Amino acid sequence: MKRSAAVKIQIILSYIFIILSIVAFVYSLGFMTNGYQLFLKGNSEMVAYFKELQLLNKEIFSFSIKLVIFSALIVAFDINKKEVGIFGFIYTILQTAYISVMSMSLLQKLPTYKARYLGFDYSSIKDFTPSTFVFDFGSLLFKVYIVTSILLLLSVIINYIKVLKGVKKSGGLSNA
Amino acid sequence: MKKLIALLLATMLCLSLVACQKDDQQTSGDTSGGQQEEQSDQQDDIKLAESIKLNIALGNNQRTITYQQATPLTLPDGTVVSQGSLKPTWLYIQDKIGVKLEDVTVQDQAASEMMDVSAATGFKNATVYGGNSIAEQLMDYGAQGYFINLKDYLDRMPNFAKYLEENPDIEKAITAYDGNIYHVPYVAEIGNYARVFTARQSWITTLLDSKDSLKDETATLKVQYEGYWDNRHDKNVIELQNEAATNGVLTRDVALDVLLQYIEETYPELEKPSDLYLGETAKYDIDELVALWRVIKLSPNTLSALETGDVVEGTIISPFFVRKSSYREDVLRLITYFGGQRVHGSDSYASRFYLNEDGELTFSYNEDKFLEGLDYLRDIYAEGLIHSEFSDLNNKDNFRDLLYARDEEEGQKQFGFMTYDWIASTTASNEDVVAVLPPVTTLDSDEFIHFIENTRTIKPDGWAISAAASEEEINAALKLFDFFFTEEGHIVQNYGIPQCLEENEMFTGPDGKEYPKFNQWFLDSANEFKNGDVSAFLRDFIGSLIPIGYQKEIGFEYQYTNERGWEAWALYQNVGVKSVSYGATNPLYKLVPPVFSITDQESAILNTLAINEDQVEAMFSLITGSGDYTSSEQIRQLYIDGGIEEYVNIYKQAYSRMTQ
Repeated sequence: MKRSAAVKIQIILSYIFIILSIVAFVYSLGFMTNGYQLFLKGNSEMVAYFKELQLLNKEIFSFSIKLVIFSALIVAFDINKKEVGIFGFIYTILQTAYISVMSMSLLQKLPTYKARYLGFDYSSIKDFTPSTFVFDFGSLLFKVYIVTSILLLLSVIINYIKVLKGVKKSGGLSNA
Repeated sequence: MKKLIALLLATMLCLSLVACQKDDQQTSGDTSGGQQEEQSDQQDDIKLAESIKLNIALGNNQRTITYQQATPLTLPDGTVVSQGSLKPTWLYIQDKIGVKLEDVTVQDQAASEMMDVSAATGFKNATVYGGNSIAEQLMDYGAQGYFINLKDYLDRMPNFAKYLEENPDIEKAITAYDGNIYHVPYVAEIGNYARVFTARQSWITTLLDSKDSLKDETATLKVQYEGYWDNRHDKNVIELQNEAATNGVLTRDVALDVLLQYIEETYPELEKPSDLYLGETAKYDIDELVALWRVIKLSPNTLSALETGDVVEGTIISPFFVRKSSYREDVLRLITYFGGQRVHGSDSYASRFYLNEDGELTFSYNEDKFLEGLDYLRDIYAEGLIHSEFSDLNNKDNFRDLLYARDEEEGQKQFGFMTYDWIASTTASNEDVVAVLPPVTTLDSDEFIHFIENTRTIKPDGWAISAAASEEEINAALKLFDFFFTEEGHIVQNYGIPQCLEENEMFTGPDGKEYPKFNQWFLDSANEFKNGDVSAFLRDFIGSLIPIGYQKEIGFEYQYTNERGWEAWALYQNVGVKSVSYGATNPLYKLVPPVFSITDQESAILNTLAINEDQVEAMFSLITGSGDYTSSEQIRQLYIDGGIEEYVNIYKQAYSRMTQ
């Protein structure tokens, strides 16, 4: 049976979501790499900042694990293949809500940490070039995540409504 | 199927959501103490837990606070202590403080392993954690919040507080990098000598004072060592022996004649030549000692006949040896006598920092004089004057037993002359062994002095109180900790329960002081259960002397020291052999802390450096000529390549924090 454009969009968005989850997981693993130099060679303020950054990293890592599980659930509910049933529909709503809340939280924190990072004097650390890449990339990533999640939800809703309408029609025909 | 998978994944998700929540719950008594009721300390109205759990790991199930002997012990009052019960000392303590003590130690577990395992659970499985060689970990985890800061509770430990007030250097040595104190250490008998030089006195008198017992010798020795002291006397005895050697090869008669002539000319005031080495008149330096070692090495026939009654073919003489290969760093202590280079700053082979004359923390193993000393040891070893297997870590033999204690065994062919070891046990190993003064050397001036670096110190052992414990459990643990600094607690931990001691009699030590005296029941029991090893009996059966937080006293050791051991103490005390201490004003005589409290940043930096036992292994390879190392300059380069400068800076910062 030929898939409708809406279903195709849903499928594409599902795979984008899955890929972003993998990216987020890898991102969380490498988050502290550059910052470790602050711990190793920095002054006491940099060391304290590093330890706080570790807590943020822990939060990002934990979130990325959940994103990977979400990806697996997307596959389990066949969201990446066809119109969803009631469980898939409910799941997508919950997933989108959770991702939005968590991503917004991280989007608030990342700039704050970036600003503090830029406030240090790195002249005392030999062979170290400060880089805000992890903060900038993270901000972009979670913004894209929110957009993808919302778009996925919308496509799921549209496709689900179509399914409901289709069921009504066929149910009506059989009763004629 | 897919719905099942989806359900499983959803469950995982929910679990991960819950697991990632921060644990805000306070740890309650049911996880760490089993405390169900509280009891009031009548004196102070402080609530104590009814019982507390102790995790004190020592790597040996015989040495914990639980009695692990198959044979029950019957105390004089009829009490029977059987396997699984607390040892008598700990039964006594729990009775005295009114708190039940539960031993939750994995009995054979090493202390460091216990700490790693306990850290994984946040130190929630016991109230008290302790053991040997874990002081650094106690401070480290303490600074991370896992142990309570004892400074906040000194009002509940008045005796320990008083002890710290009277011993400010001990307080500094146990202060972590954040300024807090997290553990109470085991403090050895500070102010007393630890290991000393001992030697077979008859070998010296037989070889030097008369020719009557000399046998013909055919042994030869190729000279390598060229001597050190060129400014003490007009002539150097090593140079004289080397000049007298034929083509660089010495015989016994040549070595002995040169030495005797040298002693006669250089020390006309001595009654006999052996007085240069024995007794309070001893004033030999390292070169004169090496000259004697050469004579000894070249006299296997004479010395084997002296020990066994007949010449033993194939006799191997070791002029200097250490007790076992794991004590091989005792050989490095000889470097002190080549011009006063400090080697160990505390009583530990790993203690390689000391204070130089300017009070700066200095790494000894990389100092010029130390490295030069390695070259001298290499030459001395090449002459066969140091026991050939001293540094082979695969050899687990007790060399002291082999070289001192088996003279009368059939077929015995190995004999040792001199070692550096504890007085009581070493003088007990052979009737001919006596203490000898250390070689004279300069240290802080041009004056030649008798100096011995090894003294008794604060040990890197002790115990701490978990911050996860309830307030009542903490109070109970504080009472326990403080007990050991009361008169009663001090005695029970040093000498055992009152049933081990004479009721109305004290023991007078060679220092003239009085100490509690062991009674006959104790001595008989030590003989019965531990072949007379009173130290092991007291520790393994009675439960005292366990390395938790307390001050050890020398009175115990005096009581199992024999007469020659007492003479050894008297020799060193009468002559006033100089040593190091915590209270010394001259930094060269000052002890450094047993461990340094370093921050996690410093610890991370140290992990990037390569200052470790590799350099030490290279040193022994150099000394024994067994590897690629032929010069101490190679050792210096190893340290440079390993990042020694940064290594030293980190420890300097740590020391500065501890002593502020």
